[in-house]
Formats: sequence, structure tokens, C-alpha cells
Amino acid sequence: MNRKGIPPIRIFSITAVLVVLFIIPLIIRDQYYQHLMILTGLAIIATVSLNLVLATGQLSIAQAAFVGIGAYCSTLLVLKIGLTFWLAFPIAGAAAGGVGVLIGLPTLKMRGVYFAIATFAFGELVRMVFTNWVSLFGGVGGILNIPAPNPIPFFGGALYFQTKGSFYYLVLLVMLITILVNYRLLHSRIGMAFQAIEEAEALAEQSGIPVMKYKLLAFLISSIFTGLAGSLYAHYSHYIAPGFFSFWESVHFIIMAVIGGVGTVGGPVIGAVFLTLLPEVFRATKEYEMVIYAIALITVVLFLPKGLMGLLKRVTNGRGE
Amino acid sequence: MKDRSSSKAKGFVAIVLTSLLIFGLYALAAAETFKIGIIGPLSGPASVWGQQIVRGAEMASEEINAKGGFPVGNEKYTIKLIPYDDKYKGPEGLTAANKLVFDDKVKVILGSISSASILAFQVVTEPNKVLVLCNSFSHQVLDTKKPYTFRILMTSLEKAPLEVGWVAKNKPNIKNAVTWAPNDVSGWDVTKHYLKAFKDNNINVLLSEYYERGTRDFYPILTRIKAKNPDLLYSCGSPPGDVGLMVKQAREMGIKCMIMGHAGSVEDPEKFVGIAGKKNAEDYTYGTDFNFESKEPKAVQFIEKYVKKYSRPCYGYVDPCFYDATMAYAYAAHKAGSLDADKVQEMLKRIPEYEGVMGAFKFSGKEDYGTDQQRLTTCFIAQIKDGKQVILSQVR
Amino acid sequence: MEQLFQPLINGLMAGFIYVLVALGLTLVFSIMGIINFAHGEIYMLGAFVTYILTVSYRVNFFLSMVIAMGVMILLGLLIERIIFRPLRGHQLNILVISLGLAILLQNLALIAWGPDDVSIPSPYPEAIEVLGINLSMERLAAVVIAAILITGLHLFLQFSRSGRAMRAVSQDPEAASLQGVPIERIESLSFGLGCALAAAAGGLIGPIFVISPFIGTVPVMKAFVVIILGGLGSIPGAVLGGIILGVTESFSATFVGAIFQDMIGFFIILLVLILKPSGLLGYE
Repeated sequence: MNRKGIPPIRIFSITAVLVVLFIIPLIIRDQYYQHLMILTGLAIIATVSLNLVLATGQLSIAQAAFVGIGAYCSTLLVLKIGLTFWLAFPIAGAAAGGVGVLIGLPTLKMRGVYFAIATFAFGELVRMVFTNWVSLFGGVGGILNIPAPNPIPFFGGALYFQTKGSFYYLVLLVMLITILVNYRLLHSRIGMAFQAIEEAEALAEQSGIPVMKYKLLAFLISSIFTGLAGSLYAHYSHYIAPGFFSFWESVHFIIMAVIGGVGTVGGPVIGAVFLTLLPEVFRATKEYEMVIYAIALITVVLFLPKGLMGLLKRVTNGRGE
Repeated sequence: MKDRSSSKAKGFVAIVLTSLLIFGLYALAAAETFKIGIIGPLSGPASVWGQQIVRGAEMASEEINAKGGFPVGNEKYTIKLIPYDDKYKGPEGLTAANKLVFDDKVKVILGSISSASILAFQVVTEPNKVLVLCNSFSHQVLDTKKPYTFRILMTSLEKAPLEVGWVAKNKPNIKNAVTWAPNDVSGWDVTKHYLKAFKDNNINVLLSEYYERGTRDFYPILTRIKAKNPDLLYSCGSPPGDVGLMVKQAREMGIKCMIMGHAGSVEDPEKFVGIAGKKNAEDYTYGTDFNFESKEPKAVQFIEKYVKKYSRPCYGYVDPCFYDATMAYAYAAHKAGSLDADKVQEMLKRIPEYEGVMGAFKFSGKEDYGTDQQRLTTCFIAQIKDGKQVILSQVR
Repeated sequence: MEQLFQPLINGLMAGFIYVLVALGLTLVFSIMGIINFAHGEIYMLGAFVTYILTVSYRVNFFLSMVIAMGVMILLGLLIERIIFRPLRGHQLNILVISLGLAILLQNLALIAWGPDDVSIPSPYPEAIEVLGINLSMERLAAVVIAAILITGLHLFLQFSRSGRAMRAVSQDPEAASLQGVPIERIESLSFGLGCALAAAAGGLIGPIFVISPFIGTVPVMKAFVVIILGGLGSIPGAVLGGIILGVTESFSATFVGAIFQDMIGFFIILLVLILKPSGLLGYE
């Protein structure tokens, strides 16, 4: 770790990226692209969070379930109890985190494939609860007319979140916080411990690392942010249904993380961007879209085992992240 | 050297300018392009219907473009179709609609069959005054607050009373029934309508079963149903493949009562019989919106062209429905003299004289939805006899 | 009492079919340590090859099935060599690539054959009723053939040289390698065998249900439940797991409601993983 401070080129490139991110919606006014930017931002939040769990060597196939928990929780708090979005939003994240701990406690002690399948079963059960508990969750048709976040009073006027442009800034903020938290965590001593757990769990245990506690921590933080992403999606698209949070969506996040490159924070970001935008490029090809997607997937995994991030690192000779 | 290169340059410029001139003249003379978006499942199991939407639209746009486009005011518009896959999912439909409305700037969207998809993308189409002609089943799709969405296919709300009414009239010895449907939006909504229709016709519903889509083995459910000993087993909203299997397995299980299904449970009678087995499929009765053996000139013409173009028989009712919808839109825009969404949508509600392949293009539905945006089409009762479809009667 | 027999028979029959699909999956896992998500698509392709041969070329149904198994073995060997072998050791990558493969195969099948459900005309006589219980001949035949295949597999693993080598690799790859077992060849062989079993299952189930590019997804999910329940890598475990799942689903659907037919499977998985992760007959 570089203790002498961050190299100037890094400060410059990060600032440049941030500036671009902040002014983009003012330059690109086409709402379709703004929509894609919001979706990509949400995907980044979920994928970076998944990466945290992957960093401890656990494969979770339940990401979409946590998105759903956050989405439904926030929706119900706003529609049924009348809370403002600004309260419902963090509570939804906390709820997702809570469920994460509840399901993590009995399952995180399982290794590899077993944990993956347990999360898969959990994810499907969550979806079935959303589907079959009709009085609470609206059943198969889901919940319509979810309002946008309430306006915030601001210097005499107010900030509204009805338009895509304004919502983008909200997503951007949450995304940046997620990236920051994950980055700091992964580059801290706890992050080193995660790596130790991922590489040789028994050894890590013996050298005094509280393995279970750390795995739970990763799972908790991951679930919280994923839940927040769910809440954001609900109040952006105004409609959620159980089918939006199925096994296939969870798989999609895994694919994004792996294609991007597991282990770093940049990897999931690249993966999320690449795999949210790639299908859009091929949208006009109709039924060939999925074939192209699959071929791209297979090719990247075969030839870039460390994902796109690995390619980027090789190209820039390991400089920057 | 200099002379040659400068004359080469002059020659090049001349060619470019001439091409631009020709292109410009051509562009001026050609009709305006009118883009129509299509949102539907183009991959996955539901692509059966998504592809039908595309085919129906293609048939109509080809016919219209062959005449140089459809006239509105002083312009003629040729149709360009832009189909996007929504994979039968809400979020995908939302993205597809965003692209169609903001990037491709369409004024009309055909589809989707997925209720989740259309409920998701109406938040984009309604505020932006984009006309949507859909065939999704959910009740919430049509609403007084959604003046630009029209449903061009009847749902079970309209059809259940017709089908069950036929049962009550022609099979008076049927006193009770069991319904069977997939465990999703369509299945629940459709069953609701049949339950009401059964109640209105004094037929007691003993049991309503729902199964997860993807289930192929209905033996356990059928065991449960057999124990209730119903007079009638009714399929409410399942796709033809599932219904064929259900009929086969029910007969194998020794269930001997009448089995009937909603319009849409059979599309290709031969395939259906192939799945169910000839003996098992005998006497299976079902509603159907489109009579592919109709002698009506419009229908005959449509079917002929369809078979020629796609080398496949025309059994589905979704294709002709969207053909009708596209043609009717062009007709309404022409009559309204404008492409303005408000004017066209008003006109659509007032052209019952337009005869489509599936009957007069009439909208109604004020009682059920608060607004007249639901099309009423033809509807028949058919039966499988000796491995073939036989139309028993026309109920609308 | 009679009321219980029909659901029991239903469950046993369904269970055997699950076993056949699960066997290939657990075999591959026990020897190569990989979960092949494309297993369901191999099953689907096996069904399609059988269908094409039987319906378009009028080949005898059973012969078609055997040919389908052969074709899938070849495809399996190709897949193992080109796609899985370069990634050995990278569990996550293998998982993702098998997903990509599944999507690819399913969508290629969609483009080739369209989305419609098709069926194979039944080569068996009609359903019969025995002692008040309805039995479909196709299912009965599927159970019998499945039983034959399962027994054949068991005998192969117990008594043939390759079979014993496979068992050695599954128990301890390093020791087996030290003893001169050609690991790579054994892995290819086991993958091919797994594909053959999947194809056989697809072919058998063709006349019972329908065939479409989408039939691969659900069986592979059920297969997961089966092999978790029975114990990853255990063949007798897969048999036991399949039967238990089939019967449990049948009873819960018959007496409680069809909605629970699927939920039961997931409950079982969670229960097993929490209480005894190695499954009923697995070793850990």
C-alpha cells in the first residue's frame, strides 16, 4: 500500500472521471441514454456489492432477491405506511441487510458449491413469497404507481426527482458511496483478511482471523447496498413485480462480476457497464441478440480468465485502477 | 502531374455533387417514412406470440407500402417496423420503450403481450402521447387515465361469458367445474373472469388450481382434481403445449368428464392432437377467435398471402389481430387527416365501419374499464373431432 | 388407502425421471468437480435429435434414442475439450461459461427449430388401469429403461477398468494420478457419459411430455435438488434423492396444492444444506 499519499496522476484521472459523470446528463439529453445510465448505475451498485461477497470466496446466487427485498420494502413503506422515500430508502437497505444476516448465519459456514445452491434456493423462495403472499406484496402482478422520491426543500425552492436527469444524480451519489465503501474495505486490513479467507480458509481460521464474522460482514454490507439499489429501481420505474427478481437476474449479476474481473472494485464496474450496454447495441438484431451475448460471454471467459479488468491492467501495465 | 490530379479531383467532386443531387431529388420524391415500434417477446418460450405480432405487422406494412404508403393529409407515409425484444419481462419492456420513444421517436407501438412489460412501459408511452396497440391480458392495462393504450384483442373478461354461456346453453347437465391455470398474472386474471362467468351461469366451481409455468407433469394436480369428480375441467389461460399435455394426462388418469379450454388453448390443431394423442384429444372443446377455415373474402385473402409469405399455416389469432390493428391505425390516421396522437386515438374509437380480418373494428369496454378502448372481435366455439378442428358455432 | 397409492406411483415415476437427469450431473461433479449448467440443454438437444430422427426420418424410436446419445457424447467431448478443460481450477469461470453455453445452445435451438412445442408420437400402447391405479405406458417404459441405464452405470463403475478408474479419480485425484490413471482421458470419458445420460433422459421424456428449446431449464433445477439431497457425487444418493423428491412433490401437490410442488424442492435444499450438507448418502 502506498503510504506516501496518492500519486497525482491518480487524483487527476479520478477527478476527470467524476467531472464527466456529473456533467453527462447535461450533455446527453436523449432520455433513452439517460435511462441506460441509470440502469448501469444500479447494476454497478449491485455488482460491486456482489463482488464483496465473492471476495470472501463465497458465490451468492441471491443478489436479485436482495434487490427485490429492498424494492418491496421501500415500496410498501411509502405506499402503505406513507413514509417519505428518504426514510423508506435507508430502512429498505437495513431490511435487506437484516435478511442478509439472517440467511447468512446458517449458510455462510458452507463452502463453495453448497453455499451457492443454498443462496439459489433462498432466492427462489423469496420470489415465491413475493408471488404467493398476495395481500402484502400484490401477488404476481406486483405493485403499480410507485411514486418518485419526494421533493427535498433546497434554498427556498425544491429539488425534484421526477425526471431521469435528476434521478441520475441520486443514483450517481449512491453508486459513488458504494464504490468508495467497497474500495476502502477491500484495501484495508479487513480486505486483506477477506483475501486470506478466500485463498485458504482453514489457514486463515488458524491464524486468528474471525472467518465467520468477516464473511457475515461482507454479506451484510453487500446486502445493504443491494437493497438500496432495489429501492432506487422501484421509485425510478414506478412498477415492480416478483418476476423482476428471479434466479436469472442473480445470474446476470454474477456474469457481470466475472466478466469484469472478480477481486477488484474496478472489475465489477467495467463488467456492469459492458454487460448493460452490450445487449443494447445488438437490440436491433432481435433473436440473435442472445446468441451474440452468449458468444461474447464464452469468448471473454475463455480468453480473459481475469475478466476485462485483467485485460485493462495488462494493457496499462498495471498502472491505475 | 498536377494537371492530371486536379482533373481527377474535379471529376471526383462532380461525381459526388451529382450523386447528392440525385439522392436529394429521390429523397424529396419518396414518401415520408413512418416508424412503428414493436415490443414483444422475441426470444424465450413466449416468442411464439412475439413472432406473431411481428408477422401480422409485417403483412400490413407490406400491403400498405406496396401502395406507396398510407395517405394522411397531403403526405404519403411508408411504414418502417422497429421490433425490440422484451423477453416477456417488465424491465426489458421499459428499456425497449425508452429507446422507441426517445431514440427512434416512434408515434405508435404494437405489443406487448406481456402484462408486466406493458405495465412497466406505460409510464413512458402515456405521458409522451405514444399510441399503444396491445394484446396483454391484465385488467389494469386499460384505464381512463391511459387514453393512448388500446387493446386489440379480447381478453377473458369478454370471452369467458361467451364461452361459459355456450356451455350453459348447450350442455345443461354440467353443474360443477374445476379451473386450471398457470401461476402468474395471466393465469390469475383469466381465472377470475371464468369464475365470475361460472357463477353468473350457476355452475359451481369446486376447485381452482394453479401450477408453476414450466411444469410438465400434471399427474399430482390431476389426481387431486379427479378426486373432486367434476363435470367439467376448464383450462384458463395456459399455452397450447401445456393444455395438450393436460388433456393427454387427464385421459390417461381416467378422468372422463368434459374438458374445455379458453380461446388460445389450441392454435395448430394438428400439433395439439400430436401432443395430446388422437384418442385423448377427441371432443376437446375450446374457444377460438380466428376461424382459419372462414370463407369470408378478407380472411381468405389474408391467409393466402400469409401462407405464401411465411410458408407456414395461419392458425394463430395474434397475427391477424395485429394485421388488423396496423391497417386500422393507418385508416384512422387517414380519416383524422393527422398523425397527432389525440386526433388518431379519438378516430380509432369511431371507426366501427372498418372491417378487419377478425370482424368490424369496434371498440367498447366503458362498463368494465371506464373507457372504450377494448376491441371486440369474432369468437367461435370449436371442437376436436377425429383429429381435426370443427367449428361448432359463432358466439360473437 | 387407495387414495395414497396413485400419488405414490405418480411420485415414483416422476422421481425416476429426475434421477436420470441428475445422474449425469452428479457424475460430472464427482469426477471433475464442476457444475455444468448446460446439462439441461444437452438433455434438450438429446430430445430434439430423437424427435428429428423419429419424426422426420422415420427411424425407430429406440434406435433414435441410442443415436441421440451417441451424438451428444460427441458434442460433450467437444465441449469438454474446448470449453471446460482450459478453465480447470477456476470454479467461478467454469460456472459462468457453462451458463453462457446454456444460453447459446438454447437460443441456437430456438433459431433452428422455432419456439413451438412439438411431440414424439408415442411408440407404446395406451394407458392402463391396474388395481384402481392409472399407469401411463410411456412413463412405465421410461422408468424401466431408466432403471436399466442406472444399473448399467452402476455395473460399469463397479467392474470395468474405466469405471474403477473413474471412481478412483472421484475419491482422490492426486492419488489416482500417481497410480498412472490418465486423468484427462477419464475426465473426458465421464463428461461424455454424463451427456449420454442427459440425452437418454431427453429422448425418453420426449413422448411423455413436449419438446421445445426451453425444456432444459426446469429438469436441471430439479436435478440440483436431487443431488444436494442425495449427496453431491453419490450415485445411490442421486437415486434416493430423486425418488424422495418425486414422491414428496407428488404428495404435496395432490393434498396441499400445486403451488407447493415447486416450493417443496427449495425447502428441501435449504433444510438439507443447513442440517446435513453432505446429503443423505454423501461423504465429506
